[in-house]
Amino acid sequence: MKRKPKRKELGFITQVEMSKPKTKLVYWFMFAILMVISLCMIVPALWILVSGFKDTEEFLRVPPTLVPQSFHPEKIKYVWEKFDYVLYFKNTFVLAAGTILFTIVLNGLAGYVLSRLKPRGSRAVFTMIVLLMMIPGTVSMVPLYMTICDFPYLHFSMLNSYTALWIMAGANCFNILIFKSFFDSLPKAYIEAAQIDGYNNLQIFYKIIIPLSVPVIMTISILTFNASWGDFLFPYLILTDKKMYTISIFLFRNKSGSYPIDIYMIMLTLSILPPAIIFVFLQKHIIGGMTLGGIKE
Amino acid sequence: MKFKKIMAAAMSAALAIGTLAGCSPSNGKNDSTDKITIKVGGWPSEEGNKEAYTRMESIKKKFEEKYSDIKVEEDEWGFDLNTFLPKAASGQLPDVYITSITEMKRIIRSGYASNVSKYMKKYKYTDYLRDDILKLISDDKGEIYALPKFAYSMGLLINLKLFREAGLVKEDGTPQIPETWEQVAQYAQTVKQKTGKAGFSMATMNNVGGWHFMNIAWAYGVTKEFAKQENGSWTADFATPEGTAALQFVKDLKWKYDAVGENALLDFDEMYKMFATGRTAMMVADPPMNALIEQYGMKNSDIAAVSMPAGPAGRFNQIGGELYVMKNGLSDEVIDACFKWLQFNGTTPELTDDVKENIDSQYKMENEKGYVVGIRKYSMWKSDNIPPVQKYEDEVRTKYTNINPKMFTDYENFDKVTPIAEPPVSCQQLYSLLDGCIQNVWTDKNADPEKLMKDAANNYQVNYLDKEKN
Amino acid sequence: MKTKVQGTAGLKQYGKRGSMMLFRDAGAWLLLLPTIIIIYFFTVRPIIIGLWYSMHEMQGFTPKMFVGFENYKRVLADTQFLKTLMNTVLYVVWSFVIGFVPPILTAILLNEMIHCSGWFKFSIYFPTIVPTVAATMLWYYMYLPDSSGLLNTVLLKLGAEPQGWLQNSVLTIPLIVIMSTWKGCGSTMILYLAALQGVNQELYEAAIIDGAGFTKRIIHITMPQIMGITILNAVRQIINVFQIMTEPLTMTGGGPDGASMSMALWGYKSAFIEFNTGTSLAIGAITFAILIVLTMFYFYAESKVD
Repeated sequence: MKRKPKRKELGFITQVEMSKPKTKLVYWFMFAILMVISLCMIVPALWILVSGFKDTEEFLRVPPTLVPQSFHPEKIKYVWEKFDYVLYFKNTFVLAAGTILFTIVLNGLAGYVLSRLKPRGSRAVFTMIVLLMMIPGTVSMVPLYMTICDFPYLHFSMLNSYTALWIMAGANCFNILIFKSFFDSLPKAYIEAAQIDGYNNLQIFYKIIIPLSVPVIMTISILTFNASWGDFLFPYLILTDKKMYTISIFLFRNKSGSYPIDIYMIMLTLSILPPAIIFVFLQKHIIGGMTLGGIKE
Repeated sequence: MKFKKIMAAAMSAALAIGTLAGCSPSNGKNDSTDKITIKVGGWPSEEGNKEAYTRMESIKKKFEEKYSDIKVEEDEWGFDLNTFLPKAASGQLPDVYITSITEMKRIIRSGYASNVSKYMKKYKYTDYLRDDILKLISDDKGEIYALPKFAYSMGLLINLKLFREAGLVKEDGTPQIPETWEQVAQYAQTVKQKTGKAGFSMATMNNVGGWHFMNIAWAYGVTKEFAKQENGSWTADFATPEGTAALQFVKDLKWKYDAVGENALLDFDEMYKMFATGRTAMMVADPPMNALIEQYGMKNSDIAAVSMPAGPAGRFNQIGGELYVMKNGLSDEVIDACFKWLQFNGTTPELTDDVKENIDSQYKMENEKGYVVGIRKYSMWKSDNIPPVQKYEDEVRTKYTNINPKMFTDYENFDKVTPIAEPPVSCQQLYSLLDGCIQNVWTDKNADPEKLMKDAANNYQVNYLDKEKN
Repeated sequence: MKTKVQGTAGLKQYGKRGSMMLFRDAGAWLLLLPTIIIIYFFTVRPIIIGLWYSMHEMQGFTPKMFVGFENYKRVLADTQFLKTLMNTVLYVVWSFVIGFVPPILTAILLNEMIHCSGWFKFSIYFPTIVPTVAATMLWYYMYLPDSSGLLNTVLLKLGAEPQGWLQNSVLTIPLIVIMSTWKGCGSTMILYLAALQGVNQELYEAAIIDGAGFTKRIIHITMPQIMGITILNAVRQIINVFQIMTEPLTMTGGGPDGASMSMALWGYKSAFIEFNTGTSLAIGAITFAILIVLTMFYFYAESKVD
């Protein structure tokens, strides 16, 4: 965490007021509420983390211990070796990477076309995209699955492959809109200047638009990564081969039965680890990216 | 009718661009070469079960030597309801897959099994198989859609470790036998009081609760079909004093005897795990239950089985079994090849040297793995026409016995119990409704069994029985 | 795109430039084409097919015969229908009671913080990155009815009776909603935060000069500023929660005794567990119809906001 100068620039309490005792009271009261909320958010995850590392005897003790008295980090090694985590992580990464690629290229391009090139008739496409974003998926779950089983006209199956899941990212209307509104917000002056310099459209896209879009691309990539890491229903329906399982499918399929709870808790902890690490390092892109004006609708 | 036609026409016109054939099942892939390839499901995985894998591989090798025109392809997929439909719809099922009898009706209905009547006759299975088993794998017209792998009869499984702790064993180490359901409740109560662990457990989710509940309901006097048939239409018949009494018993297990665990939303695996890890002393199951040993590391010396307890109406148990199903859309040659494979592998009334060897290796492996070997299985063959294979199997089993037979004597006495097959109409849906009833009486102290049964019967009637025309 | 080019007349009018534009348009359309194809095959077509097949007798995934509204009649006559629909509505209602205010409150408070704001952002956003299945299982263990669940551990420490939590049919839905609030609060909060950071500080300064206290400032300046996003989130929430499925599937399987069964879960079970694709499609179509009405309301709300 970077130390920022403690100066209030935002909110209904202004910097000037901060020196008054009454304001201070209000401020710290709010601080306390927020602290309670933030603890509520973090405690469940923390509990899973520490409970999993208790020794099994303590885990099953009655009455149970709230604060663990034993800590066995070697259990994580055991879980790591017992299950094919390398495979599940790799699969989930492959799924997420492909999804990000499709999202950025296709949604980005679509957003760019709709925002900047605006070919005649594209307004209709835009309207359709906005409409589709709101249309529920309940009726299309089965037909979509059928499409993946046996693609219309061409009759090939995309079961047990990530292809369908990647391609479906291309139809993410929400991301298209984010890209579009981001491109809308780019100052026209840059592009006009480039046109004067004799750049063609493609050059403008590569030399001007893409460098300017790095923040929005980062934000969408991270959000897509998270969504993809936790995606469940369609991966679960499509990837039936054990060798293709993602981490969520693995967790779901082992949720009951086979393993003691403390082991399962470590399995949960491990599944959260990669996105958590990425989040810790890249969180400014998520929280910063949102204020780019992209997601204000 | 006219309206329907007009609408159909209008819709198809509107859909001229979009409508296409859905997923069409792909056919067996016996084209190109002159070799017939069959894909066999439920193949053991090399990492998961090395011994079984090695055994199957050697059988495969011998089979392919004998039948040089058939090639066996292995597929590890074992039946799993969550992935079945996706696989079936996309034609990815193995040519032969294993499933249980309870799943058969919906598989037949949705058309994912081949009609094998012809081959069942050709290979003499119909001469030897019990009629009640045959009925379970046939459709309304009597066409057969599966080949039974084995049959089982449900019983009560006892965790001896907990019984010992609770002092419920006799001097020779055998458990005291709960003869009636009332006794089950009392013993369960004793276990709970002495050890703090659940005395009796029942799965309550994914239709398992209803499935196991059958045994209790019959003992309390519910009709075996759970419905009455008159002039071709069915009426639900379990919202009766008998049905209520059965559910009241289940309720009492929790609130009167306090003999079950806290978790009332248990699925099958969870119940197994509780039993195997010594957190519940009794459960309804179909012995010998090698999964307890293979998956959860239970010792076979801690397991005992007794007959399904009796109720006011008598002693009944449900029979079931596992089946081999040939997927839909296979050509005759492929089905025939599948049958040859299954026969070779040991599912046949006839006894050949290959079959002998394979049965032998099966029991040997089970013995080495510490499974429960030596208890008499409920036979799927007719008792008045015992096939040679049965006699041979009995010999082999005795040879490889690795448990104390006394722990299973009561269970093996099949004459003590009346076997009943599962209800004929929409039984999975019935189970699901009964699951709900059990969840309800175990989570709500004030639940009214009579009302619950009435509601369940009404739902069963309206949602399923009334739809059962012709 | 104010000037509409109509046929060849337009082309002539624009002369060489017109055909250049046509060429340019073709290029642009080419870039858009993959997206359009994907959207057609993976979004539009499945909906049409779904509605069409819902009027068929289905065997597995193959339509057998056109039967009109038979499947719909079946679903509407099912004794489960009303209960499941009510449950689904309950999910939505509880999601408002429990889940609507926290993101707004958190965003407003967080926007004021100069201390530990990094920690707050991290902790509040953290649940969002937990995969759904992991989150549901995590809470499943918190709610475990025996003494090893976190909540029961706490109750036991306090000397209270352990509870059944999810197994109590009255509590099931609210408890599932608490879980999804925990999981979803962070991402919604970010939207509000973004809106709040766009508030012009001068408005507050002007309000101070007018002598407005904190409460007045919140009511008259902060709230109106996030009103738009609030309405949109409300409608989005209705639509999303109405389709809740994974959470009850993982945590309760719809139990106890159907107390947490939702329309989407029912549809899923009909298709993938009971192999009644026709029924499942009809359930989907009914939910679809209900949600379309709500979506229309969304657009109404959106046009108001803009």
